[in-house]
Amino acid sequence: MTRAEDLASAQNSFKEFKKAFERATTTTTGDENAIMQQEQQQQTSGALNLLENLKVALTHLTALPPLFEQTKSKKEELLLARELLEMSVILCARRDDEMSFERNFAQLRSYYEDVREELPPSKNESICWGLNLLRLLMQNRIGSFHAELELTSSELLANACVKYSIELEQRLMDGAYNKIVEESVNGEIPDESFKPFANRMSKTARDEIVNCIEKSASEITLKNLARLLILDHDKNEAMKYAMERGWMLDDGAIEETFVFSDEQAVPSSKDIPSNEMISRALLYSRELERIV
Amino acid sequence: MDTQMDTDLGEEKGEEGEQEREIEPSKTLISNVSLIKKSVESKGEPRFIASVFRQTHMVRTKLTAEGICAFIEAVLPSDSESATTLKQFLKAKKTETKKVKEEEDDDSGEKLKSELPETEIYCYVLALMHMIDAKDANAIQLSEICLQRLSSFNRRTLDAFAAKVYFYYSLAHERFGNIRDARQTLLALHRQATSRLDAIGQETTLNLLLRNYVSLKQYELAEQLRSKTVLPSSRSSAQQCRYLYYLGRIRAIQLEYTEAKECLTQALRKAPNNAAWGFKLILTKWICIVRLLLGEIPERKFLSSPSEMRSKLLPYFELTSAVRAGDLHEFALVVEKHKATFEKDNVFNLITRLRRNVIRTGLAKVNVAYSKISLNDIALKLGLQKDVDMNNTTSNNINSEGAIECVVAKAIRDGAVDAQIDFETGIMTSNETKDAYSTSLPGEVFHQRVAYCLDVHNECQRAMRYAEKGSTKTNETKEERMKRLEDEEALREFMEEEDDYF
Repeated sequence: MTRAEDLASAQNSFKEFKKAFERATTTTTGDENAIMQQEQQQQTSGALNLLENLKVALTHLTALPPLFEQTKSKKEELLLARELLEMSVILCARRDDEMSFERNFAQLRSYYEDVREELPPSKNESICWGLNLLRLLMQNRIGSFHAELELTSSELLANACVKYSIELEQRLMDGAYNKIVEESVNGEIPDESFKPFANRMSKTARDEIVNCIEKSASEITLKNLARLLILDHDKNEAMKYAMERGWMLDDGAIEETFVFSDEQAVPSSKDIPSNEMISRALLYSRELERIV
Repeated sequence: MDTQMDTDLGEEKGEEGEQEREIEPSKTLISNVSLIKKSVESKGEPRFIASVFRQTHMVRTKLTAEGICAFIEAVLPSDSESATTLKQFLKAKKTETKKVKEEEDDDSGEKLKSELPETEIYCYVLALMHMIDAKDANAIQLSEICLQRLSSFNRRTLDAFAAKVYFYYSLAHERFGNIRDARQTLLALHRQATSRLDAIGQETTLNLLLRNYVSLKQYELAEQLRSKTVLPSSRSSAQQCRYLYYLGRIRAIQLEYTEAKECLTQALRKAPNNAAWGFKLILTKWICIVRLLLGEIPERKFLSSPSEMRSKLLPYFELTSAVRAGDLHEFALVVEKHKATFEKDNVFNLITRLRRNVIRTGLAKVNVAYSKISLNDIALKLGLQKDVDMNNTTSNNINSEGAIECVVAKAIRDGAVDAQIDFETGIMTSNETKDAYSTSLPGEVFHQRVAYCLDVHNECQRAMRYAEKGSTKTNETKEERMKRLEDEEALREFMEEEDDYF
C-alpha cells in the first residue's frame, strides 16, 4: 500500500472509532440503570477493539514519533494520532485502568512536547494532562507529580481539569482529607473521566483519616467518626472502617465509642539506642585518628 | 539569571586580572602559545593548560576583534583554512583595519607560527568567547564550524580545549538560539568523550546536558540521564560544583530535601571565593527554600551576610519571616507580592509547597502557648477559616469547618505537634512537654553537626590531592608494579575488615 492509502484507511477506521468512542462516553449521569451501564460497557469494549486495530495501522505512518519523517501529509498524520491517543487515554481513565493509561500517556507525551509548535492546540489536552497528574497522585508518586507540574504551562494551570489535580495535591499535603472525600461524594469533578480515579483517591483519603484519628485522639464516638468520614447516612460503613483497624468499643459508654489503647511502655534500658551510640562513637574515633 | 551564573563561574579568576591591570592582551596571548606548546610536549600536563585559561580570563574583557585577528595572523599559518574563516567571522562585526597591531607582531611573527591543532582550537575559543561577550549571534555558526574541525582530530592533548568549545557551543545556543537544538550534538559528544576516556569532556558535556534539561524544566529526563552516567574519577572542582547544583535542584523538585540541601550547600562551599556572585546568589536562594521546606529556619545572617546580595535576597527574607511566624495570611501576601521574582527564579512551585510548613509552624506555636484550645480558635489564628474579605482571591484556602480537624490530626500523626484531640468537644489539649535533654534529640543534633564537620574536612583533603598519575608512570619496573599492587590489595583488605566492625 502507498502512504496515501495507509493514511486514508487509518482515517476511515478512525471515524468509526470516534463514533464508538462518543457512544461509549455519552454520560448517563444520575442514571443508575443497570442495563444502561451494561450497554455502555459493551460500547467501551467495542471501542477498545477498534482501537487495537487502529494502533497497528498507525505504525505504517512514518511521520509519527519516533521517526518524525517529513512526509507531505505530516500534519494530518500527527493530528490523527494525537486525537486517537487522547481518546484512548480518556477511555483508559474511564475504565479505571491505570497501567494502560500510563502507557498511552507516555506515547501521547511526545505530541505535546516534541511537535507542539507544529500542531494547533488540542481541546482534550487539559483533560489528559489533569488526568495524568491525578494518576501520579493516586500512585503516590509525589516526586514525579512535581516534576510534571514544573512542565505544566501557565495556560494549562488555569484550566479547571489541571487545577483540580493540583488542588487535590495541596489538600493531601495540608491534611484536609475530608474535603477530598466530600468533593468526591458530591461529584464535584471537572470531567466524567475523572470519576474512577477520584473515587480511588477518596478511598485513600478515608484511610488516612482513620489513621490520623487513631494517632491523635484517645476516643471517638461512632457518630463523629461517620461525620469525619462523610458517611453520615451509613453508620454501618463507618463501623466497617473501625472494625478493619481492630478498634475496641467502650462497653461503659452510653453512645457507641471507640477507645484506643495507648499503653505507655515502662521505660527500660532497651530504649537506649546503644547500638547507634556505639557505632557513632567508633566513627568519631576513627575519623579523629585519621585527622591526627 | 541562569546564564549569568555560567559566565560568572567562568570568570572565577577575573578578580586577579584587575589587580594586574597593566597587562598587554596581545603579549599574554602570545605567551599562551608557548605554554600550549609546552603542554603538548609534556603530553597534556594539566598545569600548563590551566594557566593558559587563567591568563586568558585575565585579559578577557580587554580583547577586541582586531586584537584577536592580529593574533590569529601571527600564530596560524597564513594558508590555513581556519584562519580565514575566523577572520571572516570576526570582521563581519567590525570592518576596521588593524594596522597598529600588525607592525608590532612582525618581528616575532615567523617563529611563532605553529601547526599545532591545539593552537588552532585555542584561536577558535578566543573568537567564540569574544563573540559571545559581544552578543554576536553568529557565534552559533562559528561554534558549529569549530565542532566540525574538532571532529577531524583525535588527540588527548586537545581535550581541555575541546571542553571549552563544547561549553561555548551550548552557551551560544542558549543565548542566541534555542537551547533544545544543542541537545542532540551534546549527547553525541558525551558518548564520544566517554568512549575516549576524556574525563574533562565527559564532565563538561554531562553538566551542559543537565543544564539543558533543567533549564527546560525537564527534571525527570535530567535525573534519568544523571543516574545512568558514570562520573570520571578525577574531576575539576568547577565542574563538580555545577554538577552538585543541578543535582540539588533535581532533588529539590523530587521532594528529597535532605539530599538537595546537602548538594546545594556543598556547591556553595566549592564555589569560588571572590567571584561568581550570580551563581552564589542562586544557590543561596535555593538553599533558603530547601531549608524552609525541611522545616528549618535559615539564620538572619545567611540571608544578609554578603552585602552585595542583600537587596536581591529581600523577597526570600520576607518569605522566611512569614514562615517563621506561621501566619498563612502574611505568607499568601508575600507570595503574591513577589510572585514575579519567584517565577523568574523558577521556584514558584516550590514555594507553594511551603504552605504546609506554615500551617505546621503556626500550629506548633499555638500548641506551646495554649494548653487547651478549641479547634475553631486554631483555625481563626492560623487563618485557615473562611475569610470574608479574601475568599475569592486565593482558591487554596481550606474554607470549610471540619477540615481543621483533619489538618490538626495529620499534624499530630506526623509528629509536628504533641497533643490530643477530643472530637466530641472539638478541643485540642497539649501533652505535657518533655525535657528535651531526656530524649535522644540532643545526641542526634550533635551527630549531625559532627558529621558535617567531618564531611568538610574530608572534602577539603580530597580536593587537595594531586591528580592520579596512574598509567603515566612508565619507569616502573614489573616487580615494582607487582609490589605496589600487592600493597594496595593488602591495604584495601585491611580497610574492608575495619569497615566490617560497623
